[in-house]
Amino acid sequence: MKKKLILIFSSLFIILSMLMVSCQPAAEPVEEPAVEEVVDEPVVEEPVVEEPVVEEPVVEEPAVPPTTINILFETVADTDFVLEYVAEFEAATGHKVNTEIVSYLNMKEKLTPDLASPEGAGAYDVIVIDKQWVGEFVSADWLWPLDDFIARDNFDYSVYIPAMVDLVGKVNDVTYMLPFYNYSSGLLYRTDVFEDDDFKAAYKEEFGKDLVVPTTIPEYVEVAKNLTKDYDGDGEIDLYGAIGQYSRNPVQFEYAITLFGLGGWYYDENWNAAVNSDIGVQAAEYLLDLYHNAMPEAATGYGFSEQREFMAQGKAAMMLTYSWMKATLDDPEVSNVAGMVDFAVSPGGHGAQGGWGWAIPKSAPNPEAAWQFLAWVESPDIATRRGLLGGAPVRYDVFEDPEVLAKFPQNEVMKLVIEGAKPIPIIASSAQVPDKVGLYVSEMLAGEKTPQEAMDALADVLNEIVIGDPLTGR
Amino acid sequence: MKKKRIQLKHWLVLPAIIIMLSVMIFPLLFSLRTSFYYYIISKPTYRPFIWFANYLNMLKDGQVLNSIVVTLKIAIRAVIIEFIVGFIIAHFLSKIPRYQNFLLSVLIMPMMLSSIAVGMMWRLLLNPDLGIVNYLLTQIGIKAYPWLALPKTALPTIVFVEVWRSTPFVALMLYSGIISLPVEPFESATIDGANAWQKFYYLTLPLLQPIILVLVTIRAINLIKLYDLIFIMTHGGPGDTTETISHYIWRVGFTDLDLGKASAGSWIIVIFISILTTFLFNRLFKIGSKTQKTKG
Repeated sequence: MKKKLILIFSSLFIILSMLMVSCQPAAEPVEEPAVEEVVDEPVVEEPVVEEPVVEEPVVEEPAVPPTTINILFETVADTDFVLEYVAEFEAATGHKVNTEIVSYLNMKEKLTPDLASPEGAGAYDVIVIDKQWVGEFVSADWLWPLDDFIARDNFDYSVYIPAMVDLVGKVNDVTYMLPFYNYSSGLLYRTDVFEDDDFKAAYKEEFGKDLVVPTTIPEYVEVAKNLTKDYDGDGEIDLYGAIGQYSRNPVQFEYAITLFGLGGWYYDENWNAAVNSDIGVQAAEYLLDLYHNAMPEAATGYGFSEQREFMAQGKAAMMLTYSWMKATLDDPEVSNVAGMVDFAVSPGGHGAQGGWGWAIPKSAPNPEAAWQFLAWVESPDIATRRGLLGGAPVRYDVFEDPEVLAKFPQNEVMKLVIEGAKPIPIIASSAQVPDKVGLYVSEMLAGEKTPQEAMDALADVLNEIVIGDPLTGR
Repeated sequence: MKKKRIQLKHWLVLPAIIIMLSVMIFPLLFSLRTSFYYYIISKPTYRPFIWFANYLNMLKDGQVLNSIVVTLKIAIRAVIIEFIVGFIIAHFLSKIPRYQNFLLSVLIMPMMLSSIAVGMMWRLLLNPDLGIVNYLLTQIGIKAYPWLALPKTALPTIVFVEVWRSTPFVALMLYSGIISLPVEPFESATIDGANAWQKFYYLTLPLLQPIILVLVTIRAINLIKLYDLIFIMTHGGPGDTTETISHYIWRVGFTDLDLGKASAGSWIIVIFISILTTFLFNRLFKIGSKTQKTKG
């Protein structure tokens, strides 16, 4: 009998240990602070759907005992630039920084259950948030407002470019994030095409116009179509005027830039969908025109990696793309057009705003230590040093720093790109907007709907999305 | 009367049963409960009970109908092709005198790859600019083709990749069935002058019927759940030409954040699969009881 009991208990023990091991979170285990957390506990209130409740965490006592700060990052270059200096923060504060770095595809799945944890019971102290999650996270009351931290520590928030603040900073005048880095869009073009005298002369002779980098959407479409041709007469097109990422999800990005460049936006000032307005339909028609007359048929299967490859092979003259793309095309080991591309403001002056922000979730075990980290990582010194490594700035002081500007002269253009770019709607269902736009524009490109039909259907869905949304008031 | 004691071996499996029940039954019950609520992840304080509204919304949704049609197109085509090719491979393997083990090892390689790897690999192979498939085609004078980018070829390409991935499994099962068939009926048929086709149609097929039914069930369930390849290769596009029901449910759950509606959609699939498997297994049991009677 004794043997049986031992057997039963040992098998139970083994199974339970295995279960506990497999249930460990992917992040490093969160160490509790040695001393109980600072003064008052953050006020716990039931979150209200209609109006995100603005609660403030501890703000009076800045002394924080050394603890472990867990941060969830995305696998991007700007993360590496931060990690370069983290040891300095650890040495100065005594905190230990644990980082978990995951790909974009896995981020949302990791974040959502953690953010839904009770206050202080999550795994992450600091998170980085993509633009399209902002509305959702704020509406769900998952983020600590940072205004009191900012006021208490005299943190200079005025250095941030207002367009970035609107995207990944404030929502309805409450500061939930510090902008981290940008990936706003612009026009990437081939200098060996647009600045080659022979090419320009031949273009002028054929079309009776100067070949110049387009500054409006109609010009962009016209130049792209004109450049697309079989130059050596072998029956194959040698150069396409443009290359886009026209597969189902990424095509929403192309539509957004075209729509913004024409002066439109997804909604009017009363949150009525505006994609089926004249401008909205015209944007869709331009996409269709570009696809049929200035791009390869395969573009409807392209995401940004295929688009980049196509450009790197020297097969296209222009592309609307993210700001970081130029650096990857300037690498001679993977690109035939290294040193032959340049970045300009999107045609029409308004690209799609892209960016990430730093935030402290309400589920953070150590919000005060988390703020210490944010204040350090966004201090002028660290922000400038990140900029010197090649980080994508979001602040005027970094953009205007002489050393940064000397090393990265293209930042002059990037500042204009960010200032002019338009944001995604910051609503609880932000993520649905690109998804739905991608679906209906893709249906139009596949020939299932006309531009007008596609935009009418899209407008219906976009109107449904904002009804009852706490951030739109509809 | 002596009280019956529970044997040690039963105690030992108890923890496993408890764990299985908790990890299988709990999510099922939770999703069933969720399907009756207005359950948007980002609205944690507003979760009213709405009876069958999520189910009705799912059934009324035009995109659901399209995704069901796409799923059935993929499932029917893939199952038919997998069985034809699988039968040919299994028959060939059963006839060759040696090297079966080596050929089987080669054959099951696609089965060892994860869905993500298969999707990424074929997406690269079929890339119009960098893919080896189009490169080889251009070497024999055929123009490179954007297989996944156009509506008319995207769905057949998905079917092709699914067939490539799953035919080895079908062939393996059929091969194991063929080599375990009794030889006497085939010898009698040969003596009676039956040709190869007659032996296949009147003997092999009926004798393999139980295996075929099990295989059809497994493959039908897998194909109705098809999500991974779609996510990696097309994301449902171009347009909605490759959007399967599982991919659509994923979108509802993780893009629209509507877990209530997504759960209702999942339960509709569960009900559909249950009906299908009940029908197929009923048929299987009938065959089983008929065989028993014949033996008796």
